[in-house]
Amino acid sequence: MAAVNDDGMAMTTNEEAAPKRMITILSQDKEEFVVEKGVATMATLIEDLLADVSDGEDKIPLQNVDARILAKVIEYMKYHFKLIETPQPEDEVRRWDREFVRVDKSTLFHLVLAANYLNIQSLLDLTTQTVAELIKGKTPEQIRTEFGIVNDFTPEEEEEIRRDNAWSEDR
Amino acid sequence: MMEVEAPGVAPVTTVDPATTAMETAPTEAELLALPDELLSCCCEGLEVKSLVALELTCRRLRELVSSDTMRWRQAVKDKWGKAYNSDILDAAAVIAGGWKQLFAEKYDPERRQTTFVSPVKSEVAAILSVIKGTGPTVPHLKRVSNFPSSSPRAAPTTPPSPPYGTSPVCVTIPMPDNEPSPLSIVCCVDGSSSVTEEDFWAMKDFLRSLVSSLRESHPEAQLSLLQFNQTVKRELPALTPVGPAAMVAVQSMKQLMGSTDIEKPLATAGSILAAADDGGSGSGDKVILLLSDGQTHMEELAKSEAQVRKAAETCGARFYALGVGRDVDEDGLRRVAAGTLLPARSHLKPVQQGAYFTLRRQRSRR
Repeated sequence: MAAVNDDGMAMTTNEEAAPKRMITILSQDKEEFVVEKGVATMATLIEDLLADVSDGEDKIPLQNVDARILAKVIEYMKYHFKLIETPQPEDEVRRWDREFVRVDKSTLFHLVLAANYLNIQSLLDLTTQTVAELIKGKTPEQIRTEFGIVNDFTPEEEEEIRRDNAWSEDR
Repeated sequence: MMEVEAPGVAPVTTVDPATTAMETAPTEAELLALPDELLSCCCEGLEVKSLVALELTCRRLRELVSSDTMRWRQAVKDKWGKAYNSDILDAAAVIAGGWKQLFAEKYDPERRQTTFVSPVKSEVAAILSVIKGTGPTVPHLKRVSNFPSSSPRAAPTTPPSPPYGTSPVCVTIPMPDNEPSPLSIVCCVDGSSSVTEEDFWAMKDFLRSLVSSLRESHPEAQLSLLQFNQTVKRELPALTPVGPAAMVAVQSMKQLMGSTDIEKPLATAGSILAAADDGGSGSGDKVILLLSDGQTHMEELAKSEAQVRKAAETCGARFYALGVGRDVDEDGLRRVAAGTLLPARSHLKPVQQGAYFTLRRQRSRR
C-alpha cells in the first residue's frame, strides 16, 4: 500500500488495475472499516485528518460515531463516490437517497449528528430535510407525539404564544 | 451489528438538555438531542405554518424558532423579495421589530388576497424615513428600464443619460444626522381623472402619515402642497410649517379630475424650493414628492425627468415618486426618479437621491 502515490497511481507494476489506496476508519467503539481513500474523503473531516497525519499512517480514529452509524454513513459515501465515475439519472439518485433515509427516527438523528461531525454536506442536507418532512403539516400536538417532546409551557405561556401567532391561523 | 430498534412510538421521557446524544451513544436519539444549529438546519425546508406549529411544542423550540432570524428573513424574501418595494424590506424589518414581525404584518393582506396591494405599516414607516432622509439609502434606481429605443427622444434639452448605479442591492441604515438640516418638502398630487376616488384617498392617507410623522421627528420641517391635472392648484402655496394648517390642507383637498400634466407641478415645486434656497444658506434638505399613477405619454415623462434633474442640480432636491393606481406606470415613474442620478461632479453629494415606491396598485395575478 505504501507503494502507491497520492494520485492513486501504482508505482509497482501490477497485473490488475492500479490498487486503490485504502484507509482504515476506526469507529468510536473500535470497529475497523477499510475503505478506498476516495470514499473516505467524501467526508471533509476525514480529508482534513488525512492531510494532518504522516504518509503511511492510514488509520483514522473517529470519536463521535459508533460502528452501526458509521457502517450506514460508509454505505452512503460509497454510493455517492461511485456516482462520480458512473453517473446515474437524477431520479434514480433521489430514489436511492430516499430509500437510504428510510430508517427509524433514532438512527435518523444519529445520521444528522454524524453527517455534521464528519462534515458531509449532502448527507446533512438529506437527513435534515428528512426530519423537516416529519414535521411538515403537523399540529403542535402531533409534532410532540412524533418526537416525544414534552410540553413544558404553562397554560398562560401557551396562550400567549397562540395570541402572538394568531396571524398565521386560518380564518 | 445491526440491532433492531424499538419501532413505533418514541417513549415520552424528559430529555436532559445537558446530555448530548453522542456522549451517550448508542442510545435512542431524540429530536431535542440535536444541538441548536442542527435543529435550525432541520427548519430550513419548513413553511411558515410548520414553524409556528414547532413554536407551540415546547420552550426550547419556541425560543429557537422565534429567534431564527435567518429563517424568517428567508421566509419574507421568498414571498416578497421580488414584489413591490422590496428594497425597503430590510429597513421595514428593523421598524417592525424583526423579520418574523414583518412577516406577520405582511401575511394577513396577502392571505386575504386583497384586490389592491399597499405597503404595510412598517413599510410605510420605512418609506417615510427614506423621504425624511433618516432612513436607508435605496440603491434601486439602476433597475430603471429605459424607454423603448424606437420612441423618439423628446425633450431637446435632454442631457446625456445618467450613469445608472452599479452598487449592489443592499440597504444601509446610516445614523441620522446629529444636526438635521431643515427639511422642505413639496408634494405634487395627481388629481386627474385616471386616479380613482380610492386612489386619491390612499394619497391623502399617505400625506397625513407624512405630516404626523414629520411633526414628531422634524418639527421644523416645512411643507408645500400642489394638486395637478392639466394645471397646477396650489393647495398649500408657500412652504408652511408642518402644523395644523398643513394637516387641514391635506384633509380638505378635493380631487380636481381632468387630464394630466406631470411636468408643470414638478417645475413649480422646483421653483418653490429654489426660492426657499435664495433666502437661506442653501444648506437645507429639499425633497419633491410625486404621488401619481404616471399615466401620461413618454414625452412628458422625459420632460418630467428633466425637471427633476434641474431641481437636483440647482438646489440639491431629492425626489421620490409614489405610485398609486390600477395601472401605475412604474417604469415611467422610476425613469422620472432617475433624474436625480447626477453625474458625480460639482458641489452636489454624489449619492442617489431618488426612488420609486408603490403606495397602492392592483395585485398582480400569478
